[in-house]
Amino acid sequence: MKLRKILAVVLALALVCATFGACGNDAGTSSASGTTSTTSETETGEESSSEAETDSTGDATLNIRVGMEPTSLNTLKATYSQEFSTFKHLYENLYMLDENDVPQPAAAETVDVSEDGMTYTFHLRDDGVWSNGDPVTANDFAFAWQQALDVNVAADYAYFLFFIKNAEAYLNYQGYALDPAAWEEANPDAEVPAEVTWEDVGVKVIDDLTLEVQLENPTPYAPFLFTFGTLCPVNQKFYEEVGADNYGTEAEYFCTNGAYTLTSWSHDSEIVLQKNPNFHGADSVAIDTLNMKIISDGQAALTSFLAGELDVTELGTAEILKQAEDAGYEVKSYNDGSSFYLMVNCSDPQLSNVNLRRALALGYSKQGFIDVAIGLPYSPMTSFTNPAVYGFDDTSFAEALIAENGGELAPAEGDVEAAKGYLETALSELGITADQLTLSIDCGDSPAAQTQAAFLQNQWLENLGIDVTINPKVTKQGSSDRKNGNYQMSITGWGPDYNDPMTFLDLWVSDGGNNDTRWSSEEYDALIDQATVETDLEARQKLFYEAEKIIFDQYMILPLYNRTQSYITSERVGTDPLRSTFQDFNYTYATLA
Amino acid sequence: MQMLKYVLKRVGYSIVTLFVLVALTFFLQRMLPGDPFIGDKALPQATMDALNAKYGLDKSVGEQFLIYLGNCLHGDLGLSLQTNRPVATIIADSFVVSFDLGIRAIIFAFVLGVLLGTVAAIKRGKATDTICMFIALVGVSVPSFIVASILQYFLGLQLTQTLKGAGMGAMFAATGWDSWNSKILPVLALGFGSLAQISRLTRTSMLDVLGQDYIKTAKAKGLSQPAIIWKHALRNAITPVVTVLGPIAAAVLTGAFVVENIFSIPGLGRYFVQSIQTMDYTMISGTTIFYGAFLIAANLVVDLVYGVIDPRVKLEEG
Repeated sequence: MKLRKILAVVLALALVCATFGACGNDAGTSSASGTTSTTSETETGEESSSEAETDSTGDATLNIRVGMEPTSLNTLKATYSQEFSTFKHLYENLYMLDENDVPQPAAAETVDVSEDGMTYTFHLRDDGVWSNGDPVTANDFAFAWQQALDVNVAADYAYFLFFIKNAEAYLNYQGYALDPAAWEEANPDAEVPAEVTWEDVGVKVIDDLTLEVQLENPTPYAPFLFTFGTLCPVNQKFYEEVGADNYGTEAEYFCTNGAYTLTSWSHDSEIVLQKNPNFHGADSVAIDTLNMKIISDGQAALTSFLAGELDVTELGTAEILKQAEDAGYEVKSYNDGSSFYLMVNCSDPQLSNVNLRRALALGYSKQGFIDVAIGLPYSPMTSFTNPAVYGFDDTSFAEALIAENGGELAPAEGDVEAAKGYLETALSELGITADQLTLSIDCGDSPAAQTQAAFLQNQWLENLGIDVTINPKVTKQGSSDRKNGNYQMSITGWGPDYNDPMTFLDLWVSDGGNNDTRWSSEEYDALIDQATVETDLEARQKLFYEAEKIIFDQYMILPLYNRTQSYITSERVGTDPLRSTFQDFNYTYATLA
Repeated sequence: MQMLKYVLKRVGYSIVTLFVLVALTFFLQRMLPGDPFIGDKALPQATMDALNAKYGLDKSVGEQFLIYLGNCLHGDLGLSLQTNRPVATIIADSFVVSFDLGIRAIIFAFVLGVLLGTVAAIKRGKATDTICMFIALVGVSVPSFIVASILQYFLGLQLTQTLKGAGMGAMFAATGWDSWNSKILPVLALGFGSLAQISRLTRTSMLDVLGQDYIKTAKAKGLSQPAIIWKHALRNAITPVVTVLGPIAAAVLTGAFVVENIFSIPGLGRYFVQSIQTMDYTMISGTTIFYGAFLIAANLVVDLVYGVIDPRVKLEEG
């Protein structure tokens, strides 16, 4: 009887203690919506199980984590970075990124680029083969791109092909042709688009192994775009056999030509990739089996890792990072290229005042924001283009910009004195006092996102005496409110689509689809227009410098931070998987210990 | 005959309830702020139009509702706006897992709950009673996500690491839902609250029954205590427990989201929650209708079973 009482007490104590310790839920620190990368959580973890794979047949197996069930593994429809990373294992594009994120000919053995940079002629390798045994031909690419531009396929990322001649016109004409009456009603002032057929688009199949692509503009980063997931080849026969709606939705609906084949997909649970022995580069691929475990909760993933069920996991919150450090793991990291900022609605009566925007932009410490509101090793945003993006000489554009400028465009600690000066000017221009300002910040609805907003609220109140309110919104609402101009300031972000400053800087052109700031400047538009056609890369870079300086003078965005992804690997991993800005994860380079 | 009439009447009510549910869900979700296709990156207008046309969102809401209703009658819940997979397939796939988890949790809760409650009633006022009721109290007051985290931390992680240090394999998996050892902790976590509820109810009900005259008579006749408890007391004491089993089953089968999330179990719960965040209209409707139909059916079954266990219950009064 005594023993039972003791037991009861012990049990009670255990419960109480653990209540305090063990129930950390991952709230996802990054929370700002924007960017190509994952969901509101920062991590797309992958992990592999260090559980001694005794039952396996001596195959090299890694259990890696992905942070969410793919919304689509149809190459034409995918939009998330983890999906594109998966494609890098399954498909081989004309170009593929190497270990340094530099595009190298892949499915194409050689590429001829015309002198004006407007025509790419691809000579495909003759040993490219689909997982169903068909040879890879030029038509597989042409067909895929035609599908991606087919308005009925409704590919989200169709615009990634707009660098190809007439691709955009082709899509838009279909939009009109779908329902001319409705189109004219919706666009009363616009001219009816001229008819554009697929024959007009700059994609020509010369023969089975030769593909000629004409571009809309000279595009220095065109090779990069050819590596993109939406431009993966599609085996036409297979695609038509299984049907467009089924393609890429279940394991049996995959026909791939890359280093791995997808052998099973149990939804919400696990995707299994097996090394493809018929791939021409199979010899250099060391891992035979990749079990991609779908674990959305960051804490669950870390626990699973520590229990030996996974080999790699991301550390998406300060709390999870600390647990990993406490467990003695060496934390590794890479810059995922995403930058976060407050987007400002410049059509707002108060925020249309540039001096008010300057005051707000300098009135808080970006480093303090990172230290206090996030607690992860992020870096303050001191240029709009993320430092991971290269300039003309394959070095960081942002670093070159800062060197050229003779210092950061915006001080990491803010500049409260200057901010006070701007505020005074702004208030006299607006003819009001500081307590008459009615400003608000939109943020995500997670506690982490609200902490971030609260930090800014506090800084502005302390430094400038401005009191702002906080509006937490679910992601979808935040996105559509920005789109519709129904906001004042909104925490969001952007991730690069390709390795060129243009991927950041063309955001703020007047008619830019993603320019929800409602800010517009002829000078800025002219700079971007010039950069679009400029073939002298050094001169082009100078144009980008000017554009950056305009952003940090006009402050249609208030800069916050550049994101870094942290992760740990188990002792089973020899060569780490490639983790980089533009590949997220790539296990074709990994080896076992 | 009476039975048949009763069942028909209940099924009739159920259909009306379900219709109201479908209509309410359909129209309420359209009032959510946001747009399913406005995401982080702007899409060309032609693509937006094509997406809206593909999912029929370009028609008037009334028209959409009639089409949806018609499709529902054919068992077609449409394609998920998010993943483009058929909603019915997603529900079928993931509910199998949730059901597996839920049923195990209910069986665990019921068997152990009745046992604890009975033991506590028999040993009323003694230490055994106190311990049993303490466990029940903890179970009622501590939410499942805390129980889940504790079990995962101590048994899924610490124990595994200790065993591994000793050169042994893991006794419990920390996450997943495939091998047998991954199915224990989630079941314990999910079933614990219900176990507590059931054991408290059983104890109360058992105490009531044990005080009845016929039990004294049975004792006086010289029946052994196990026979009295098993044959005479439990059958009567369990009736109220069966009544709550319906709501408990419903709660466990539909409310496993948190436990599923912690243990990374591919159940239906996450769709119920995530579909609202992603404005996946077809998925919101699909899961709501499914859960609604499930709850209605569960309650119906319990009412019928109740009549079988306790013949005194007249169905038409139900």
